[in-house]
Parts: sequence; structure tokens; C-alpha cells
Amino acid sequence: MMAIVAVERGSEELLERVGSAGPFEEAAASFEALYRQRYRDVYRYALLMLRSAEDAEDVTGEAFQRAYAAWDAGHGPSGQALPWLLLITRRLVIDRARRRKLLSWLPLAGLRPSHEPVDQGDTGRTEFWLWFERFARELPARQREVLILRYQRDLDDPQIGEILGISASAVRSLVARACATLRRNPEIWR
Amino acid sequence: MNEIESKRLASSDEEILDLVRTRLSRVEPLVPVPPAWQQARASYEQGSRMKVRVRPAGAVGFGGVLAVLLVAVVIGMSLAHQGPLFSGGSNPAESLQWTTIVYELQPVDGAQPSAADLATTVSILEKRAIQQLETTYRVASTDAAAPEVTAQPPNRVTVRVPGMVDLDTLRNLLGRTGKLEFVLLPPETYGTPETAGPKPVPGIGESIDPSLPAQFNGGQLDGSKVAATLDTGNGGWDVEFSFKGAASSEFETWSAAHINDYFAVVLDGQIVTAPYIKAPVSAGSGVILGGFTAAGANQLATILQYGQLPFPLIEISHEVSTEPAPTPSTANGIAASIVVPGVTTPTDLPSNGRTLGNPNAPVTLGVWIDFRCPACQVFATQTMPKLIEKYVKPGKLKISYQDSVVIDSQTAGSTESRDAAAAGRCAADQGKFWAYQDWLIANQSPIEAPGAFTLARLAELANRAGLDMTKFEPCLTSGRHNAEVLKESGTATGVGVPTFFVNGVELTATGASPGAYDDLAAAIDAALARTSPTASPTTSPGPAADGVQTVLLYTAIHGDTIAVIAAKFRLTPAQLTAANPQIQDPNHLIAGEIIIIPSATWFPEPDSTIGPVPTPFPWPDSTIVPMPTPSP
Repeated sequence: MMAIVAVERGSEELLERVGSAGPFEEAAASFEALYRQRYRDVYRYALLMLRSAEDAEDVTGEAFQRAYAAWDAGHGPSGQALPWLLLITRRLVIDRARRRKLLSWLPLAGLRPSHEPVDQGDTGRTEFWLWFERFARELPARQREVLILRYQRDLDDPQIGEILGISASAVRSLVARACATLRRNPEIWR
Repeated sequence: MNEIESKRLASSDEEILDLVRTRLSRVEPLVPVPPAWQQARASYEQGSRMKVRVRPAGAVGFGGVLAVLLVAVVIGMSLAHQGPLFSGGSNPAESLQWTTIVYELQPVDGAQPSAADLATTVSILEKRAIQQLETTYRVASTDAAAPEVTAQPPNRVTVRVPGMVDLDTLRNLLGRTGKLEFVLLPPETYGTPETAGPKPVPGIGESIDPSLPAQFNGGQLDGSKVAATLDTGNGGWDVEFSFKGAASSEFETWSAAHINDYFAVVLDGQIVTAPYIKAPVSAGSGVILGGFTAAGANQLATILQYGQLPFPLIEISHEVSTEPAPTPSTANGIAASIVVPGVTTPTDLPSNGRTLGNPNAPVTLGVWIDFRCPACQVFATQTMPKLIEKYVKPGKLKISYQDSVVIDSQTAGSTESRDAAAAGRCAADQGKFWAYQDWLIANQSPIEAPGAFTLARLAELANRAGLDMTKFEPCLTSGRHNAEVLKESGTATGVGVPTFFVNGVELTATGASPGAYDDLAAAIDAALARTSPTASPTTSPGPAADGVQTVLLYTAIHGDTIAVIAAKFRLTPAQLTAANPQIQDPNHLIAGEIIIIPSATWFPEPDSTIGPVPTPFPWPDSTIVPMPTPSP
């Protein structure tokens, strides 16, 4: 019953289909394709921000549920899908982080995605999180987030600005400040 | 300058960022996409399955994974197939539509409704309609966009509801008598799970055989304990209920006598669900697991909560009309109108400015709060009432608010956190801080968007909270308290909101989730025990989560050696070395190197002058990380 929608299409086209599709099933199928296409992006963003696989899964799930509810109510994205999804995710992330009163639980090997078998890539994961711990310690939260969005997600400056609620030039200045911080801490990128 | 340094300086920004990008891209390269979406969508879209689960004695709260005593038969279900009351989540204030339905009370067995019955009907219908509006939109019932229910003696009632209402949904909510019954399906007729009877067990939505007597009914439910709850396990919504008083034990006795029999939960003659009894139900509380939508669950809960109508209703006429919207709406989840606080701080407690409770209470709970923060709302509306009940009223605790403007600092150009905090101080000047904070908390934007606490809205809130506006307005508009707020917030650098201090000691790893009450209560109990002469038992760190061992990360500082660090944590150098195979040369630690401290012993030697270690994480630069339990 579920229509297969090619996932390699751009999300914009998908959204157009979502928006224009008349019958519910078809629209939902398109939204599902968007979910398949963007789940990883949203999950990784949440993971880097929250540093807990469990929280990231929760937040990602909730973000998509909210996105779907919003779209269903006619409040879909006006432009592209990813910044819109990340904007929704970011609110949840901030809320979650605040509730938790961050004590930096790092998802080293222990916290793999719950649906993943046990022995996948734990070494690489530990290595990554030890590095990220240092990265996160040296870079202030906003500089860190701007780098995560720009270089992990490949978003452009106006899109990042949309997510963070600041202007594109403010984004560029944050990136420049992050560069300066990185220069002072060469062990992060060497 | 050596070669490496000159190379470092030669790197361009682009090169640096490129290296960081490569690093960042290594996070979870192969995340599988869980198939959960289909389930999530299904539960969002419409509940289609239903079962009943009844909890053992003493278990309260979320209907999670507690022992299932009464197992459910899962059948397709019609009651949950009720869309949201209003289409598309539109704010009623923004729509121009009013729906009017006229009902007539029907005589039953020749008995005519009295004036009192008519009044009861009006009151129940009003509560049903208002509850639905408020749970859907959090719109104040005193507002222009509130439902109107009027009696037209001798036997008619007119209901007028604002918003883009789906007529059938509204009829379903209002027109139902709300007669809930628990009916035994006799095993000689309907069989048991093992043996089929002459008749099949009726499915959901079917009518019940009217000749079967009801064993229990909705009147025996405790209305205050009927609630729609989110089933975190399945993502859908359930309806919780409890029998009151003697009915609770009667239900237990009855269920014990009918093991393996089917019974039906019947609403207005229609079967809601028909499970069989697997074991005696030792407390009269249960959950109707419907995989409901939020709206569907609320609707059922509303009907059960306010009880049965004295007489059945019949619809005489309905009309849909339009008129200009009373108030302009705003975006970002800020109700166009003011929301009346659902939870209010008791006014009969001693208070002094922003401190609530006995001034000589042995324990002080300091709360850093930002009125824009949704987590603070959770604290103020869910956790705080419990604290007040248990500790503040007996004079054991005082709660003191401290202002943080952290959300302003996260939102460019916004000063609403500051303004709200300053307004709170203006209210405190009049001795009405706590009444005002109830209104602030109730009217924040759920997504922290600006616009909730403009000066105009702050003033309107003050007006509704009953403050003296001749004093409040000049205080607010002059910004008299702004500097104090910023100064206090400035002392909170790095503190999120809400953050809790019990007698000056920060509670780590807690939050504003509803469960935070347990953390806070434990800390307060401990503080109370310390102030009393008898010593309290010390608590030990809880067991690690499943398959995850907690370890501490320690960042080496200048002068550290393996031996020094091992001594700090009461380990042997060999244990420490074994836990850190990544260290290339244990004799030469590099400042900044991260050392993994194995679990169990990471309390450093307590400093005897400080007394008990307030928190198990005394190292400012340390990070607690979960690690997999090493395999043997």
C-alpha cells in the first residue's frame, strides 16, 4: 500500500509532492520518504548536540512527529525541508539539554543506537567521542553548533541563520570566531 | 619557531575547517533508519487498536511496563476513530466560525427531567466543552472565544462552540450520555480463551446485549483520577481510570471470582473493549489502552471525568455561523488571549518577595528560573505543587526564585526574559509575586518564541492577576528593576534553567521533568536529616545502567603522573594503566591528556574540613562518560 518514492530526489521536490498530494496515503508516503532521507541528518545533529544516543533517538523521533503534525496542520516549511526539520529539532534539543542539566554523558562505545547490533564500530566510536569531547570543551556552544551545522550538515549560511535565529552575516562571524578558537587549539584539528 | 609551528600558522581557515569537517563526518556514519515512523504515524493519525491493562496495587503514574495482570484482547476499535475536535489545530480565535447545537433532554421510562437535571446537564456540557477547548488550545475559558452553554427551560440546552469544529466530533463529545459500564460476558454464552462459547465475543464498536446486567458503572469511578496519558512505550495515548472507595475492593473480589471470563467495557451501549481476566485485579485502577490520538483520549477522559448526563440528549437543530474574530492571533504557540493558570500557588503561605514558605525553614530550595523556559513551566506546574504540599506547608522548606535571563542571551535582540523577571519584581513590590508568577508561567511560549512577554502582555497579565496597576505599570515601563535582574542573572553564569540548589548545594543531573520531584525530595530529605540530630543513612551511587559502566574522564594537568592520579582516586597505578591502554608512555603524561578512571572508586579522598562530599563529581574538568562493560 505504501508507494515507493525514490529517496535520491531532492527533499524540495519531495515536499512539493507532500504538499500537493491529494489523497492522504500518497502524501504520507512522501513524508515517509522525507523521513527516510533526512532521519540520519536529524539524528546526527541531535547526537552531536546532546551526546547521548538515547536522547538523540527520542528527540529525532519526536521532531519528526511534530514535523508531521505541523505539516498535517498546514504549517509545513516555506522553503527547504532540512532547515525546517532542524529548527524543530533544535527546540527539542535545547529543552532536553536544559532539563538534563548537562553533565556531559558521552556516547562512547556504550551508547550505540538502540536498534544496532552490539559490535559495530565501537573502536571508531570511542575515538570519535574522545576527540569530540576535546572539540566541545574548547569551542563555546554557539561556535560549536555553527560548525556542526555548516560542516556536518552542509547547510549554507542563510539556512543556518534560519535555524539559529540569527542573520547570515552573524553566522559568518561565528564561523570566523570558531576559526580563531581552532587556531588557538591546534590539537583539535591537527 | 620550529617547523611544525610554522606549518600550523600557514594553514588557512579553509584548511582548518576542512579538517574539522572530516572529523565531524565520522560521527555515526552508518545510522540505520528505524522503521518506527510507520508506527508513529499510525498512532498520530488514528488509534486503531485497543486493549485494557490493569495495574497491580500501589502502582501509579504512567501506564508503562508495569505488570500486566489483565491481558487484553486487541481488536480494532471505533471509539478512537475520532479525529481531533478541531481541524488542523487552528486557533479558535482566528477562525470566524461558531457552531451551535440545540439539545433536548429525553424522558426515560416516563420520568421527566427536573430543573435540577437541566442545570446538571448544562454544567456537564460546559465542562466537557471547556475542557476540550483548553486541552486543545490552552485557551482561557473566561475568554471571548469560550463555549457558551445555556439552558432553555423546561428541557432544552443550547451549546455554542467557537472554532473550526468538526460537527460529528462535537456531537460525539457532547451528545453522549457518558454511561460507562463493566459487563460480564457469561462464559456459558461467550466461552473462555480456551473454549469457544455458542456466541463469539463481541468486537469493539458492537452493541452490547442489553439483557446482560452491568457489574460496575462509571459512577463508581473516581473522576479526579481519570486522565489521558501519553503511553511512552507505544507513542499513543491511553485513558487511565480508578475506582473509588469500596468499588475498588469489590472490583478485586469480582475479578478474582471470574478468572478467564470475558468482560466488556461499554460506553452508551457500545463496546469499548472486551478483554478477559487473567488474574485478580488487586487495585481498582486500570488503563484503557487505545493507541488513541491525543484528542481522542482527552475526549474519552473528559466524558468519564465529568460523569454521566442525567438524561439522554437528542439533537433538535444545529447551525454553523460566522462572525468577526474577537482577538487577533499570534504565532509561535502564544495564545492570542491570556491563559488562566491551571495551577496556582497557595496564597495562605508565608512569603517574602520571591521566597515562599516559613522564613525559618531549615531547608532552602533555590531555583534559577527564566519565565520563558518551558522546563521551568514543568517545574512550576508539576513539581512545585508537590513540594509545597509535602515540605512548604509543614514549614520545613522555603522556595526562593532567582532570575536568569539565559533565553534572552540565546535569542538575538530579545529582552523578554529580563522584562518578565523585572515584572515579577514589580509584583513582589506589592507582595504578589507568587500570584503573578502563576500567570507568567501559564502564558509563556512553548517554543520560547518572542512575543509572549511584551510589556503590553506583561501588564495585561498583571491586570488579570489582580495587581495594583497604578503601581505596577510605572514600575514596569520605567524598567526600575531591569538592572537588578541582569545583575542577579550575571551571577548565574553557566547555570541553566531551572537549576536547583538545596541549602546552597547544586543538585546535579536533575532537571525539570516531572520525575525531578523524586530527586528534589531526596535531596531535601537528606538536608533535613542533616539538620536534625540523628544521622541519616548515606546513599551510595546507584547501579550502572544496563550494560553500561560509568567511568570518569580526568584531564591530566601539569605535574600529573599515573601514580599521582591513581592516588587521587584511590587506585593502584597498575589498575589505572590497565584502564588506559591508549596512553603511550605512562611515565610521561601530557597536560590535557584524557585519562579514563575506572568505576567504583572515583570518589577522591574527601577533604575532612568540608564534610560530606556534596556531589560524586568533584572535578571541575571531569566528564562522566558511560562505557561498555568490558567483555571477559
